[in-house]
Amino acid sequence: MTTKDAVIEMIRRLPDDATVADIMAELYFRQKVDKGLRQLDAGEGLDHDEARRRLAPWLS
Amino acid sequence: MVELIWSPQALSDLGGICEYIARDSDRYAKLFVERVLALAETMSASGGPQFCRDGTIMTTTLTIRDATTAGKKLGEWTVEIPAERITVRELIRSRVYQEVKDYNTRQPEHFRGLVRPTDAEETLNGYRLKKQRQIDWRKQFEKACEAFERNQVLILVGDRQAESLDEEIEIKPGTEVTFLKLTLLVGG
Repeated sequence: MTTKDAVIEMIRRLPDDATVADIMAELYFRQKVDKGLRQLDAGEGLDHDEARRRLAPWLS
Repeated sequence: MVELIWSPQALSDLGGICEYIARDSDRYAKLFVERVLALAETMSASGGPQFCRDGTIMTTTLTIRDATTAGKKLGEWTVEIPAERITVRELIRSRVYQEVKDYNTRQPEHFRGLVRPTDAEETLNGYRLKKQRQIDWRKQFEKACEAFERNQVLILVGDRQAESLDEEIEIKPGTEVTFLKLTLLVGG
């Protein structure tokens, strides 16, 4: 499936009353998710303890 | 138990969201990240998430209430469970984890948890800690599981009583879980 087809399909699945902002938000979300999945495929995933360490500034 | 693996992208996005929230409130940024981590941990412990068709995770809302054996309602709130089935142990874990983390982050005057923290006194509005401090959720969780096994706390799913920690509960929209404390539980 080409990127164009994937985007068209994504828009098709959105509710009929989706706004331009909804479409952009969904597209942005997809882009981030796809990038994350590619990182995982490339073996760059981090375990949960490491995730906690990296988020340490936000954990009390 | 399912292993959790984070993509660097997801982690940096989560950090970005926290920074954005922290522009207004550090406290809420912390609370938010704790909630996200708690959801991920519950998901892992309950055997993996269920996905909706669009790739988002399906969560089910569960109503939890505390009551006395005389039927008096002490409190009611909802938790999001990232699965349709959950064991009693995980249910206790989600509940204790969430209430302790909320307390630790917000540091309100009273802790309205299942287990009384060791140096706290009971008041009408909940437990008041003599000194403000962080409560240890793991100790509270262990205490709560022990208490359940000793029948010091009963858990009702709808009107049926849960019998073991490993028993699986099916969560449907509108499922209500009641915690009945028969004796005072102390720990953490």
